[in-house]
Amino acid sequence: MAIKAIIIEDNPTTMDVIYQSLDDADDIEILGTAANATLGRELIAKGGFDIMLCDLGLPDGSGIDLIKYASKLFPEADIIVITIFAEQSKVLGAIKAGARGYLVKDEHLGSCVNAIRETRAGGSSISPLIARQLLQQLQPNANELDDPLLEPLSSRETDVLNLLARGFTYAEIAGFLTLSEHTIRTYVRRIYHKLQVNSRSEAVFEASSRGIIDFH
Amino acid sequence: MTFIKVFFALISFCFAAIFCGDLAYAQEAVTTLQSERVIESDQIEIASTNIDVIPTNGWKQIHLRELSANNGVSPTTQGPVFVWVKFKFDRTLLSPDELAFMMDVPRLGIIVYLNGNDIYEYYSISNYQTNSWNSPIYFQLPSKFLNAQNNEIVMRMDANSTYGINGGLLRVGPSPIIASHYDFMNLADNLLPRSITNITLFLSFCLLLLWLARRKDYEFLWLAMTGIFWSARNWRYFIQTPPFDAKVFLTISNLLIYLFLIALLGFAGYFVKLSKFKQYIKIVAGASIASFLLHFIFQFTYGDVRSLYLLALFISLFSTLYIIQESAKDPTLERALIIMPLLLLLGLSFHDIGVAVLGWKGLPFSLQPYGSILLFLTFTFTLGGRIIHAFDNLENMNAILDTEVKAATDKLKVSEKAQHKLELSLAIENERERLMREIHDGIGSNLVTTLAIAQKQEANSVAVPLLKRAIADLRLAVDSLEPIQGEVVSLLGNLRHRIEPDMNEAGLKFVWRVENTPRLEWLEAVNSLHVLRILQEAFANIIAHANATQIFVNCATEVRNGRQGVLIQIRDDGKGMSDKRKTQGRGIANMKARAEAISAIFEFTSKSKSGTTVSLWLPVSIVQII
Repeated sequence: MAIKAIIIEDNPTTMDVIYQSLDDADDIEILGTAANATLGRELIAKGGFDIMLCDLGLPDGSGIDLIKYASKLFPEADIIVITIFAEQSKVLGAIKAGARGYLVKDEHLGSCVNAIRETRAGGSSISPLIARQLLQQLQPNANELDDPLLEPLSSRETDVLNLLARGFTYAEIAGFLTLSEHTIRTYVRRIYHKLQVNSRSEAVFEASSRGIIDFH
Repeated sequence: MTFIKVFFALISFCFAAIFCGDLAYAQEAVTTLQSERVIESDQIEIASTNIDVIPTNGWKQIHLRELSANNGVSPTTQGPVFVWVKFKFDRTLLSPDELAFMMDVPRLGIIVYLNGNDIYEYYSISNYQTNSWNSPIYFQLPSKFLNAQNNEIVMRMDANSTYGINGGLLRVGPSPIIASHYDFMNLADNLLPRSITNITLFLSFCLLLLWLARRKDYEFLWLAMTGIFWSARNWRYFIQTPPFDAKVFLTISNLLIYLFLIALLGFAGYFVKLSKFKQYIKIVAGASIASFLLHFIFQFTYGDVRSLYLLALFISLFSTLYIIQESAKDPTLERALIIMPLLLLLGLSFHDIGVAVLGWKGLPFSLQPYGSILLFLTFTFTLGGRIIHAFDNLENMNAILDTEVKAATDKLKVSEKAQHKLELSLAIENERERLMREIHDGIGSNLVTTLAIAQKQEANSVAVPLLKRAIADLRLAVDSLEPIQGEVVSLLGNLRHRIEPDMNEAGLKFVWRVENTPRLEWLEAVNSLHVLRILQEAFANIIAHANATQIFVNCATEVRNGRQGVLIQIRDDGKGMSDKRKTQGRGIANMKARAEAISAIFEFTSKSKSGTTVSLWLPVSIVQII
């Protein structure tokens, strides 16, 4: 069964490159595209997609909001964020919003289908700087240990992130830990999920402590 | 309870001692040396008349201390009553030199006859009050009136119903000796108590002022009243003539002893903080007032009311016992300090009343006037203690406040610094974001688009590698801006992540051996970019010239010249470099210059056919050169 995809990207050239590359793949079917946030929201609302490629800087709104919207409506769908530089702040923001991977807009964009297939298969891509950032953000603090809402990293996940942060590839890490490369990718995805859950619980905590949400 | 038993034992002991002393009292004390011999006696004969003539009969032998207005004399309304006191002595027992006579506490107007000759008059007509009570009298016995052996001194004492007759010890002896006796008695019984009384009055007014300044400190008021009543009461012993009617004066004077009692016991009770102070002071005041009324009634019925002072003494005794009992529950030095003078005051009063009323021997002068010294002294000590304590507290408080202020100031400084830092980093962040947006939406986006178009239209155009290079440079610049908290390993790893696809395309494989290394605090954006450019240049050189298949990247801690550092080594298995190229390469000079800019050490070794090694040693901490 083909992977059904939607693309939200305002740059026509980038859109072209992605569209072309996805269109060429036999196992990917493009359900629709949108060049701005408004159209993107309508496209998401229609549903039926397995994967969503989304740019962050849209002319009429933030891609982050669309990612949140999509991940809430269709939690089963995989969201991949498109970015030129893959800066950690942008990527982490997208992951917290519900993204499961990212694409760098570069000369290798044409091979983005691989990333889509990987993500669809349950894996996620990561850069050393993002791994490093995740290590910091998900490392349990002494005073947060009691928080039942938080999901700290397992020691295996910590090991994986540590190696990723030092620039080792999935393949190399798989070799060290005698696991498959795919397993390492799923680790990353799981870590992304934890980040998302934790940031959501942080948001809930903040909201409840500010009296926005009433639990009673 | 043992406390009370001990107290009773002490009191009993005092009584016993005084009584024993009394039994041993000598009627006539004579020294062995005739020249220094003094006749000391309280044995007299007494008689009374209505006319001012020395009586020839009706003499009765008594002790001087038994002398009082009514002793052997009935109070009369038929004119004045003259009480005659006769004292005989043997001239042969004494020194042949000039003799003198003295008597303690004569109190009333007195006329003295020696062998029937009027030799001394000491009174004024008004109020019969001519002498301050406690001044002893002294006069020389004129030789011409002295008989060779038997001599007789007769004193006419003016009695009335207001004042009781009184008299102390009689002494006859050589003038200088009697004079020194007189000096001592005048000092001990008159001058000193008078000074103490005046000082006490002054101190009491000071205390009153203190109390006015601090109304809630009632011990000031209690003690001030104690002192004022006490001084006023003692006034009667020193003044020559009462300021107003003698009867009223005496009544007030008598009343004052009870007011003094209330004030003193009130002070003591308040000072030791009795839990039932109100009930206590009510009982004390009630008993004192009742005693006064008794005193008042008795004074006009019987005249001699000195025995009633015992009532006052018992009130003080029981109150003191109560205070001791209550204080014993929580004994403190302060409480002990105030109970001590109370007990001593009691003892002094016992002594004086014992001597005056019960005929104990004791000391020849009254001790009670000295009591206020004790009271004020101990109060000064306790007050001083409190003041010192208060000062200590104040100093401590100041010290605590100082440290608190300092801590708060430091905290403020830190938070100001933090805020400044935050503001700065926020400003930087905002600026960075703005720049990034520009790079993203502007140059970056355009470069990527241009590259895409170029690749599509003319894949072999010279523009493509240039564009790629431009994008890579831009990416490097962006990466250098990432916050990495000095973790050079992540910087290195990220570079690999960026260039891995290019390496793969060029058929190059990384052999990645990097360890966790210490943080380089100086590794900020500008320095990061230097590091990244050096490393990128090294990798680019390998792709462009090395003709290699593998790139060995090592990163580990290394100490150089005793300094901690991180060594990054990039080695390839390529063809190496000829010496000519080595010297000509501008890239290498650039790398070196960049390394120097960040206090790093750049090394380059290359041998023909055995690859090239580029190493970059980065110190953990940079010595700031200003």
